[in-house]
Amino acid sequence: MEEGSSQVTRLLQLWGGGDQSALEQLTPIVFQELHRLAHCYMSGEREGHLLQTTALINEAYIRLTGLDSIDWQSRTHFYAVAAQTMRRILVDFARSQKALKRGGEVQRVVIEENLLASQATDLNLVALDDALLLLSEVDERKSRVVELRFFGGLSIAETAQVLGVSPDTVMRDWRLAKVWLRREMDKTG
Amino acid sequence: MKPGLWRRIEELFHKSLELDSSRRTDFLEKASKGDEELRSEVESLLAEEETTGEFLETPALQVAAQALAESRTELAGKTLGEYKVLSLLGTGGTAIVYKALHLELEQHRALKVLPPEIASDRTRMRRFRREAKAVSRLSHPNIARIFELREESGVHFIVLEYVDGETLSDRLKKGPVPISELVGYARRVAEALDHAHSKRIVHRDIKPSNIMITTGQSLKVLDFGLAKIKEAEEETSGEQSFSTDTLTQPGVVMGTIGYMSPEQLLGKDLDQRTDIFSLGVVIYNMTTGILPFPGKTLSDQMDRILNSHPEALARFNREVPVKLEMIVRKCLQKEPKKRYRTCRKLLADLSDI
Repeated sequence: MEEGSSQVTRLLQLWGGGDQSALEQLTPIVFQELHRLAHCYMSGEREGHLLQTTALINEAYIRLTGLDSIDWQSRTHFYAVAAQTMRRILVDFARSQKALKRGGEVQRVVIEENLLASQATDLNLVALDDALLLLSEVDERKSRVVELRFFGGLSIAETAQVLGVSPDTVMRDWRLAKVWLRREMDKTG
Repeated sequence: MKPGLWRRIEELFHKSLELDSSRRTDFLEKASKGDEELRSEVESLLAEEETTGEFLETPALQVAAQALAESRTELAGKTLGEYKVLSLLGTGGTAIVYKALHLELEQHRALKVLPPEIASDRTRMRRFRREAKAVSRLSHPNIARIFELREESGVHFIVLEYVDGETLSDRLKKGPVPISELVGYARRVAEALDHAHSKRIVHRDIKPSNIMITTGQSLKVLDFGLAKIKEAEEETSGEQSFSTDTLTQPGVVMGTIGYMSPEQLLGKDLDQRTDIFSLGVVIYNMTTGILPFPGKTLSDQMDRILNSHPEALARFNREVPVKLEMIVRKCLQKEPKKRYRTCRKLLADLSDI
């Protein structure tokens, strides 16, 4: 059963070496773990109320690879796939909630049209995902910055590390990407 | 978009931001050199920039959690039939539990709201109703009762006994449990299980968070027979069955694998001895403060549960009676046929301590 831990580590290393098929094998494993963790975090089943996405991702990393010590190479690759995976998880969740329209007054109140359009931040994850897709067609790197920072919760420095660019570049990318996305989302209302 | 245009937009965007807002328009005019598309693009982006502020600064997970929390508390204050929903008690995965008041009887209840994905699935609901019916026949001082299954205003929910107290898991966080106290708890859980087993009901999810300690060190076991519902919930939440080494089991929630029996992990048929195994883990945990089959990764834990023998209780707690050591070891046997066959025998041994 030790296989489990080293399997993920091996896949991460292979992917780091450029093996794309390793990523394909990695993704479902990471997905399953993050999905479970995300549900727990979202339901408040975790201690401490600071919902740090990187804490969740780190936890998943340790649970999947058993590596406490940080192998920087593998970890940054893990971050990249984790951010991508978190995006899928959260957007899929938002889409599925959107599709649920139950009859009955109370249920309609409980499940809003767009569950993840939080009043607090007025943010619609489904619309964001669509806009992000458009952005990736214009500028791939900027969409990755958003994916890593917003869905993966990574800092500027961590993002710079994953992408192999300077923090300054990340900051500029982030700034423009946010503006572009917001404008795009405003268009579709 | 014309090639190179995007690079120019980017460049002018950042350059403009370095200037005073008053000087930007002029700068743009000159820098865009008559390219109207370029100028208007940058201009509109700059305009948007002014109001962007905190946009996307809160990570997605937090946004999702916030929205989820908001939507769930909205049921509070509403009335479902003769039940007035008071407050959100907690969430366990996808199930949401509220504290409610039975208006006529003026008694508290716990309402477990079924997510719509399950409520709309007729097969699951049928299976679930059958299970709930069987469990509602359980009547025992150490088992939290199920009263009824209801539907009001499109909301499907289970009405449960409201238990006031703290979970064993919360109690364990506070520190070690004295031997006499923990034996008392073990006996009560065993009594509850014995009652259920006699009615051919297996709990399937015995763990500290499902055990409520009430006043006077009494206790109630929660969520009886609802493990089948967890199965249904997991199935609909989109857990695709990727074949990894770990966890192809339905109903596995993160963090609870530690209490699962070998046959549960392997997807075999379960009987009352699975509950006895889990109870053994609970006793071990109460006595030592740690799990008998710990592990940093899920596959480590699974491996231990299936293949390793736990450390002796005495290693961690010097006051452990030998009898307790033997009881726990018997409960934690990998093969069901080597464990206690029923809780009766377990209770007999427990009373010898």
